[in-house]
Order: sequence, then C-alpha cells, then structure tokens
Amino acid sequence: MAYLPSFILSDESKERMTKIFSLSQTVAHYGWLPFVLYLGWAHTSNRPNLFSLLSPLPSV
Amino acid sequence: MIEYMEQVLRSFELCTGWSRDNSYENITATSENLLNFDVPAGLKCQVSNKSTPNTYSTFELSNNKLINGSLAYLYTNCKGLENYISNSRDIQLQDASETYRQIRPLYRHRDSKKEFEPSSLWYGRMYYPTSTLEAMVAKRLSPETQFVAKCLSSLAHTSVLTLYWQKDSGQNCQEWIASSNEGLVGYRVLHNFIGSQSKLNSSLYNNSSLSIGGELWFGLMNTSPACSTTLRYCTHSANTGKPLTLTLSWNPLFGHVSSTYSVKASSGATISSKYDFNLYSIESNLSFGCDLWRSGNKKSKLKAHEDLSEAASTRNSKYAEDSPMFYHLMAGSLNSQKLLDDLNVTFASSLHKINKERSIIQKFENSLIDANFTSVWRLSTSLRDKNLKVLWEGKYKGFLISAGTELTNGPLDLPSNLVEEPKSASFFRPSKFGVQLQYSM
Repeated sequence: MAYLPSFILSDESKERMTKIFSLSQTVAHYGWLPFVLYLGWAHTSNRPNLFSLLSPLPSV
Repeated sequence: MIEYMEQVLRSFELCTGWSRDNSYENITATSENLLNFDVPAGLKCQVSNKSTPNTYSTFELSNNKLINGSLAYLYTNCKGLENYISNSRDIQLQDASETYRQIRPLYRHRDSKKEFEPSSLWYGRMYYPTSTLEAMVAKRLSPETQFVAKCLSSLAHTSVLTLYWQKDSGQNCQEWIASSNEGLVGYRVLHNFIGSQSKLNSSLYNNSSLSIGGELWFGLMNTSPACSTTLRYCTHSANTGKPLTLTLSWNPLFGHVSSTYSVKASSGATISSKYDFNLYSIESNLSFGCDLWRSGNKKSKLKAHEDLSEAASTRNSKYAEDSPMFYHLMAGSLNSQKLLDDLNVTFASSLHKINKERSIIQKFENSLIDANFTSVWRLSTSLRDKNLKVLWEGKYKGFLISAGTELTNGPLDLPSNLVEEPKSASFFRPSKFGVQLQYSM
C-alpha cells in the first residue's frame, strides 16, 4: 500500500479496511467448522440432533 | 497409515471417477511411499466416526512433549460414498497403508465417466491449542475437471490459500495452481502415451503404461522460477505377473537426477531403490526400502472371510470396472471387443496368449486381495543420510496400529548436507519414536 499516492486512500480508510479484513478472517476462521457442520445437518434428510453430529465418538 | 479423513477424500475421488495416480503430483508415489514413509512421533490416538451418510468426523489426541488435539469434520454430497469407506475393523490393510501404487492403463478412464454427477466435499480441521484451521473444498465440476481450494488459516501467523484447477482427459492431466504463499503460480502436466500391442513377445496383450510429466513454478514475489520433469514406466512381468515401476526425474535448475525402481517381488514383499545424483555438486545418494507383509493364520482368514463377505462384495463392485484393467488392448479403438471377435479365428494363437498372460496377472492380483494381511514391517535406509527407518503397521481388535522409530548416526539438529563425516564410528541412536492408534466406525 505504501507505493499508492496518498489521495487514493486516507490513513483512516486504510485502517478501516485492515480492521474489516482481519474481522472477516476471524469470522471465517471460527465459522468454518460450524459451516461444514451446518451443511451436513441441512443436507441429511432426517435432521440428526446436534450432539450426534458434533460427537466424533461412535454412537452406540 | 492413511488417516481416516484422507481415506474419505480418496474414496470421494474413487466414487466420482477421479484418478489419483494420473497426476504429476503422484508420479513418484510408489517410491515415495516405500522410501520416505512417515514415522509417528510420540503417542497419537484417533477416533473417527461416520455420523450420517454425508458427514464424517475425527477426533485426535497426541502427546509429543505437549498434549495436542484436533477436531475434524467433513461433509460431502457425493452419492454412494458410504459403500467405498470401510471402518477400521473391515478395511484391508493394503488399503489402509501407503504402499505400492498399481497404475491402471489409460483406457479405464473412459469407462468411469459414464454416470457423472457434480459433487463437492467440504472439510475443516481445527488444531488445539494453537487454533490453526485447515480447510479444504473439492468440487467435481465435470467428468474431466476438478477444483480444489486448500487453506491453512492461523490468526497468529500468515495464512496460506492455495487453489488448484485440474483437468484430466485420461491421456493428459493438467493442473493450474495459485498460492498466496510468495505469490506462487504453477502448472503441472502429465501425458500418457497410448499403448499398442507388445512388440517384444509377439502378443497383442499389453498392460504397460508410459507417462511423462513436468511442472513449472514461478514465485511472483521473489521472481524465482522452478521446474522439473519425470518419466514413469509401469508394467508387469509376463511370466510371473508381478508389477514393477520405474521412474526417472530431472530438475534442470538444480541439476538433480533421480531414478527409482520398485517391484512387488512377491505377494508379501515389495522392494524399492532410489539413486540420486547431482550434476553440479557430484553428490549422490542411494536409498533402499522394503515392505514385508504377513498374512493372518488360516483360522482367522476363514473368519475374516465371513466377516468381510459384505465388504468384499462392496469392494468387488467398487472395482467392477477395474476387472478387465490389465488388458490394455488396442486402446485406440472403442469397439475392441467386437474387433477381437472378428479376429478370433485369424489370430487364435495370439488370443490364446492374451488370455494366458492376463490370467497370470489377475491371479497375482487376486492373491493380494485374498491374502488377508494382518501386519507389515517397513524398512527404509539411505546411505548418505546414514539413517534407518523401521515401521510396523497392523490390525489388532479393530484398531489400526502403527509403531515405528528412526535411527540415525549423525547429529540430530543439523540437516544431512551439513553433517561432517563422523571421526569415529558411533552406534545408531533413535531420533524419533512413536505409536499411532486409529479406530473408526
């Protein structure tokens, strides 16, 4: 960003963009596993309960 | 030992008709599996579960100085995938272990694309306590194309995103790769030469496969290029039906030449050797590796046969399209069977020879499936690195266990090219030791 002329982006908007970027990365980082689980839940016809979907241990 | 999630991914590829071996990335997979196998470090336990027909999960705990863990979930909308995945009790050991890769001749790719449905796979794994996320999306878009996105996300360190666009037409497999790490872009290609009748033994039968591949890489940030090229030849011994693979790799920039020879010497033994040579530094290395498989006793074999009857039928249906895999007959023509019938009278003796050779190879292949292997010893050594790797993998009461150690002669904290020749001969000492337990339902 340093080589860009200063009139294109002000320091505040640069800072804002960095914040938005890091926030979206955090959301994607922690939201990915719930998203994969949601896909599995939504595409299974009998809608299993959350515990059986979450538990990696074999159900008896 | 292949991890459960890796098995699910490979089954996804198998189910959707994607050939894993027809890729430049895996062109030297056989020798890599036999020489550079991973030895577990510390104690590692994995429990895996198929919670629904579409979702799979794995929980892992490992104790290597620190207690680490990871939790992985996978979702796929591929239909019929559950038929391809066995739990740790029913899986055949040769399917659960990284070993000799049987290269299928080219014509097979055409058959596997008859029924195609676009499908996708979503995977995520979170490591604790570092909170590093490993994510992957694989999409089969058409019978010939696959898109893969892999991401390693870390809030403390730099994250890496890598995108793969792969196109496999059977004869050619091309990959375009872009990675956020150093702005790396790459292109990989593998070309299979269409086989014709064998010229050596005057038979129409030919199951060999000759492939050539290359890769080009360029780092946009550091403007550094890289490239390599490899030739692979796979065939079966005509008399004994034993498969063998030869590869020759060359890296023009670093002047590195590497040749490998791997052979399944019997149904219970695989041998591989590799010779590395650098044209610029005149340094060389010779590596050997072998797998020794042990079958279970007859009683357990019979029991296993009963237990595995269902799994075997699934497996047979899985490889139904593979059943004529070894005759790579007149690969250029689609109606080869009709042509064969017409030629039946004219070339009766040659056709008789085809059946004979094919039956020898299929007999050897069947002996591998029927062997009911229960354990395997894997050894690998390298003359230059002066190390010896020993790994035992086996099945015990539904658990897949792998235990191994790496013995080395040099200082542990230096890479092998910086190690000075030891002045006095010292004994090998273990630099790594570990046990891994896997259980899946």
